[in-house]
Amino acid sequence: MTEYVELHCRSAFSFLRGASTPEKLAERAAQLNLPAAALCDRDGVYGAPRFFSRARELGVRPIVGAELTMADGAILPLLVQSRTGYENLCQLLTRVHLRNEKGKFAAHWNELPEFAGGLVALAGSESLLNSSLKVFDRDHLFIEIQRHCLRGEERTVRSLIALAGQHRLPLLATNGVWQATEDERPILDLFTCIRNHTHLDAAGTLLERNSEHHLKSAAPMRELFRDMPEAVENTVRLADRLDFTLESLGYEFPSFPVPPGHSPDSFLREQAFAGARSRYGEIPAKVRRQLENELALIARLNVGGYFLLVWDIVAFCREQNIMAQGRGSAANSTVCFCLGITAVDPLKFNTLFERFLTEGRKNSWPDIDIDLPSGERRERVIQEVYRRHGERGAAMTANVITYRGRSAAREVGKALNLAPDVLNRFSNLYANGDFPHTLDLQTQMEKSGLPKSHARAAAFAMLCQAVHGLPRHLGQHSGGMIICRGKLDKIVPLERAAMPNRVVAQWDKDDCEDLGIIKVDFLGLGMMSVLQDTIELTRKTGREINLTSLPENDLKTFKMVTEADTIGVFQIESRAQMATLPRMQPKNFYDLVIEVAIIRPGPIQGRLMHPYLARRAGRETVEYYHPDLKPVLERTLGVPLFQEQMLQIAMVMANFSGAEAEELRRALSFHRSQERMERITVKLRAAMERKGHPPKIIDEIIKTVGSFALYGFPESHAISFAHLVYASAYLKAHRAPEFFASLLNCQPMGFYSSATLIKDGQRQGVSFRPVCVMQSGWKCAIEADHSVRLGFCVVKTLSRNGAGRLLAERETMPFGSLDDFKRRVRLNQDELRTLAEVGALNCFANHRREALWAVERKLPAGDLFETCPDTTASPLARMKYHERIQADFAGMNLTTGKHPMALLRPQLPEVWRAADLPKAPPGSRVRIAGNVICRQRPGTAKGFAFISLEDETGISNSIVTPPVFEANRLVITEEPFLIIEGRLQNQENVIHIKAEKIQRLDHASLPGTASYDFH
Amino acid sequence: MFAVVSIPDFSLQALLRNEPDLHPHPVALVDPDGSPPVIIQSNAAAKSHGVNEGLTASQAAARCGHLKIKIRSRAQEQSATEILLQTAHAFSPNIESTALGVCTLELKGLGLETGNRAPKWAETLRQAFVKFQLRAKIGIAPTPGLAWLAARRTDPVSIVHSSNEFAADLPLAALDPPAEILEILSRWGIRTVGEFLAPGKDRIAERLGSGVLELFRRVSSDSIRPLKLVSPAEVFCEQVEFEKEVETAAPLLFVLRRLVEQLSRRLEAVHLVVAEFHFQLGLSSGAKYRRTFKIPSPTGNIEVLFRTLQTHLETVQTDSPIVSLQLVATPARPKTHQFGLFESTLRDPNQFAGTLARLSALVGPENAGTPQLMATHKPDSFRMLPPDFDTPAMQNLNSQVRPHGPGLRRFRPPQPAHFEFRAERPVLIRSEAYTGAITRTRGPFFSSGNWWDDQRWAREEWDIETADGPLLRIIRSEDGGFVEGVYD
Repeated sequence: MTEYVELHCRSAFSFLRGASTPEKLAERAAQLNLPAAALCDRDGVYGAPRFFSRARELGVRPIVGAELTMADGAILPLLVQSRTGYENLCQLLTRVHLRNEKGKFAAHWNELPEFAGGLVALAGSESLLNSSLKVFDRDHLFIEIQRHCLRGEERTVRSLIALAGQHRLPLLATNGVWQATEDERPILDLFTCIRNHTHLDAAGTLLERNSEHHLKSAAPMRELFRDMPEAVENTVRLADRLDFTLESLGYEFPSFPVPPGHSPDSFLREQAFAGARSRYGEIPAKVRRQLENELALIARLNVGGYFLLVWDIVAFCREQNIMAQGRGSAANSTVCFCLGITAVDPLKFNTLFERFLTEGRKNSWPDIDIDLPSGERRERVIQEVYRRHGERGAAMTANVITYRGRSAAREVGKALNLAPDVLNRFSNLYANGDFPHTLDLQTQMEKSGLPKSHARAAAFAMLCQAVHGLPRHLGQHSGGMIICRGKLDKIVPLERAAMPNRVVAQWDKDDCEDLGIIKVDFLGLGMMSVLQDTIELTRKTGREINLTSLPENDLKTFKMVTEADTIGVFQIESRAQMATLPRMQPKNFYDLVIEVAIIRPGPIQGRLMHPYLARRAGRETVEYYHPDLKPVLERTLGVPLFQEQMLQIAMVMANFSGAEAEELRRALSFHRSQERMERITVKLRAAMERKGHPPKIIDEIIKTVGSFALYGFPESHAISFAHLVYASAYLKAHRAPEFFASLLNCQPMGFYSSATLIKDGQRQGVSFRPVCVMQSGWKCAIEADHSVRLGFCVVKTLSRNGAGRLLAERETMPFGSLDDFKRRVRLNQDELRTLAEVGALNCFANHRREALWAVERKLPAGDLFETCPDTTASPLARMKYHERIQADFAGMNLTTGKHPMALLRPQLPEVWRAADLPKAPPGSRVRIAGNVICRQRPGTAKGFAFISLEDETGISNSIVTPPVFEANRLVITEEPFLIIEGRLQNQENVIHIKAEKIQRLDHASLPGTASYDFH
Repeated sequence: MFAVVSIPDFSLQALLRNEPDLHPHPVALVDPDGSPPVIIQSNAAAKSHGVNEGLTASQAAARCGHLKIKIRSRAQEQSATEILLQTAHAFSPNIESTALGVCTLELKGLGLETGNRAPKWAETLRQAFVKFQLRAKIGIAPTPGLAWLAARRTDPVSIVHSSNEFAADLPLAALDPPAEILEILSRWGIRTVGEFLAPGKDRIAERLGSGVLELFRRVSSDSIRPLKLVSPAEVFCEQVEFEKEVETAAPLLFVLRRLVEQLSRRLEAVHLVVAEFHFQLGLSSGAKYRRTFKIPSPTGNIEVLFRTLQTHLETVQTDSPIVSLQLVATPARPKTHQFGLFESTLRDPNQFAGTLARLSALVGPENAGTPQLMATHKPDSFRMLPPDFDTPAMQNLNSQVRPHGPGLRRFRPPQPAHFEFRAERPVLIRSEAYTGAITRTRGPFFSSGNWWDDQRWAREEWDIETADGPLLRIIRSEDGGFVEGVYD
């Protein structure tokens, strides 16, 4: 026998106990011609799906296993022999994980017998063997021996051989693989230091003694065990017995309980047609035809239950008065539209159903994502899903947090025992984001005080690159849930999430999709909350608006949008969007769809944005890659902007079948695999060549496809989002007080701080009233005169409980005096001081300082109802105006008064106000100043940075070239107020200052608001 | 009457005392223990660029590109505190170490109450600190509290005659109120002591509690608290700044001997001897060369003390000429030693230390001393520690379990050898002591480490038996092949 199977590998998914990704282990196993290999991650099967996918592709049989941490400190490696064994392993892991707090795993020997069926244990020490003998029979227990060319290890090997003879157990050679290749040992040492909270100089014998824990082929393993060849041969014999792989996972989607006499398909049909009648009245023939087609396909794919389940959840939302809207490719489906899952009529926009569901889908479910209002309402929906399917029937998908940029460098630096100030400087140079364009690692190291000549500089650079992308810990996905018929814990181990009442699976959403596990995304959108709250407020103020019947193409709304007056509006409030709107001049709903899709890394990187805008403005003629593509690209003026168009191009130009289009779709949606993208690109190119298309066209199309792999938008998704854009813009234009009140209530969200939102609201004519203990509620509300009364939610130190007591007492009886207020509400001194400082107690005092003086007076002891008013006047002077502004920012991070820049204005006679910039001649040198509200350096901008400054009249934007950015990096990233000098550029009413000089604006003690940086 | 000496920005001044060249440059001090570490003090040049307390180092660097950021040094503060107290003690026998960088002196009996002697006396006191590179402010007042406030004014010397008039314009922070009180008062818009006093003691105390009365006491002219008297620490320091840069050992040794004599005599006068010398050379480059010499057996013998320093100095080579020399003696009481019958400690530790110092000079300090094994996988890794004369030798024995197998007698250094390998196993050895065919082998054993810096190492070990019989441990590394030892 010549073969060897490595049956004990740990990947980086053992979190700080393995150096290589599962994919790399699989690749190395293939290179070494290993027929199979087993991944045994610590306390889980975290890396198993990735190992499975890659190993299967490379012809290596992926065996599943896990190392268990026992309560006595022993580590027990287990291998899965059968599906029963896999289910047992998952259930055992789930039980122990759910019993313990997150990150603490300790299995008891006495609970193992219940789950031992179908599992094989490896015992590598006498104590482990003694405990294992009580759980596993002789057929399922091996003596594991390892040799790593270490002095002294032979004694252990000899004693294990003796034990094997004594108990008549087979020997099994493994190499205890913690790294795929020999050169990854530094990563392992690094992880050891991180795990033990030490550094390499102090770690001593905690570190590996040599690099032998790497994957080895049969020949060296045979050589290592030449005195006991059976130990190597047994690996192959055992591997032959371990016939379970993740292919036979046995996942089944839960069945939907349908009324008697119905099958899922018939019930779905009934609901879809009922919905169609409700949507259209008389069902048009076109709709009927589409419904029939879709329902037939759904029946053939046997996914009717899935649609019903999602329909049921959306119905629950409706019952609970929770806005819910399907997004993503589901918006391509007429069935989804008729079921009320999505708000988009696909036939109206001629969207591509194949983007959602095709015959070619194998082992993959349609993807329906539901947008919900973020916060408590979304949590109610998630908890309802748990309630319906049980704690072990549903789980959030995991989110793998990986080592990246700043965090990776910091941990590497600490392990290398570099000086803290070097690490601080290195981190500060990241300035809230990774900028690979203008500051390479080497330069950044040098700027941090770690020159190339430093003895550890090479190790630092090597380790930063080596750990980049390796898993650091497991979080939970923001909204992805998986559900299973029967018990989900037989399919994937479940763990407790850091959040209470949440259970999370050990796999992320891509892993789940790869293994055919259905996922429903319940995504929280702050704007959904804003819309729902705004509607409720309009109902209260008697100015009710129905979102489903907003007037189309409203002039006031589009005027506001074209003028880029879009702070607070969904999606189109960002600096980049605002810079495009005046050039785009959206006039109708579909223009908004394009606007949403065009400001994305995909179109920008693919250089599609400028051609589109130029064609739209008539500066460029509309051209198509090929005349056949005119129907596909006509609505976007020959420029492909949507994923659906990419699929249609492939179908038209390369005769791609539905299955091939599906493959392309998955490659476009699956961000993790560059290789997957490359494979389909090769296929697409070959198919186009076969059709005889000229190389130039083929190259252009391939390039466009490549850029779409970077976050291209599906059209249906853009349409869904455009609905929210239009609704929010409409509400801003027509119900501004309610809209701004809701925006403030839903903070933090969006691009702008509450302070900026209030200033924008004031420019829209909305009046904001300060917090008042006699008038305010917890949330911001609308008063009779349509002004916005700020709520207690904007006061920083006031607890929700305190505010609740205040409101309850006020409801019982209005407060008679400040003493009465203090006595009844019993807030702590901090809360009282803040309320006084922001003017919320002015109803009891002549001014804020009088209230501040009064709140410090101790209430008389004794009878609770005894009153002993303070009759002496406050000796404190009234706050000056700038002090009030300061107090507002100190207590609320906002002010209803003047913008801080208005107070500095007299000192800045040469500085242009934002509102005056249109009057400045293009090309002139101007100075702008203000509070930095946004710093951006998008990856697509080749190192250019964008800074938005807010003053009392609005926002001015500047462009910073890479050299100017580098020269002023710390000033830009650290200073809250800036003066920027440069040339004014006015391109189609979009004004930017091209920065030449950037300096700190000495704002003395004026407050600055937080900025939205580097996103 | 009381006087207060206050060293403003004490931590920064304590640091810059040894780096006077930095005074004109913007310099800021960061406390590394802060969370996050922020600027705690900055000099005038830094302040003119907007570098104020509370900024992070990055924010400060953003405001002043050529800012020098220094890390707070408790040791330097300690030295400066000793100078503060010793200098103050020379002016009054009753002194109090009031706070970091603040010393209160009782002036009773000095005859300063009458006449107009106080300003001149205060100026003399202030000048006494100038020679230590410390910028002091002096306040004189009827109470310690007022004197402290006076010392915090901008004038270098401030003498209080009328407490009310004096206090009115003082910034409130001068009273050092607790942070919470300061925050409340700041919210009230109170910025000066005068504004603080205006509402009246009772009304303020009713709101802020009785603790606030302490602040009133601080500005009261009839509230005299007792001083907590201290004696300055007995630190003996002598230093010389050379007029011309010193480039050879001879003039340095000449001056050094004089300093040793002076220190020894000063100590002798108070019945003390030298336990330790802290030796520091200031170099023209601005760098310092520092060295501590522990005197194995504390002594006042000038010859012994000087030889200890001389042996080392003869081997010192500096990158740039020497501009200053500082010698600090740590005193101790003379030790009498009664040797026990079976005691094996050294009879004359100083002589041994002298010998060891000469050896170190010859072979390098890393090759002389007491070896201590290091916790690393690198075989035979040890570092040299200074000999410990106070611990009985038996306690140094490691009680760990003896390793299995025969004992290995190491060759230090390992003997170079050539090996012939066949089928990746050694078959022949050629070295000065051992040559011949290898009959049996065990191995290889691999180990490696320190991959992260220039100390990286990797080795392959074999145990071999030669035809002649000895059982050897051989190694292969980047440096070649070696016989590392022979097994018993």
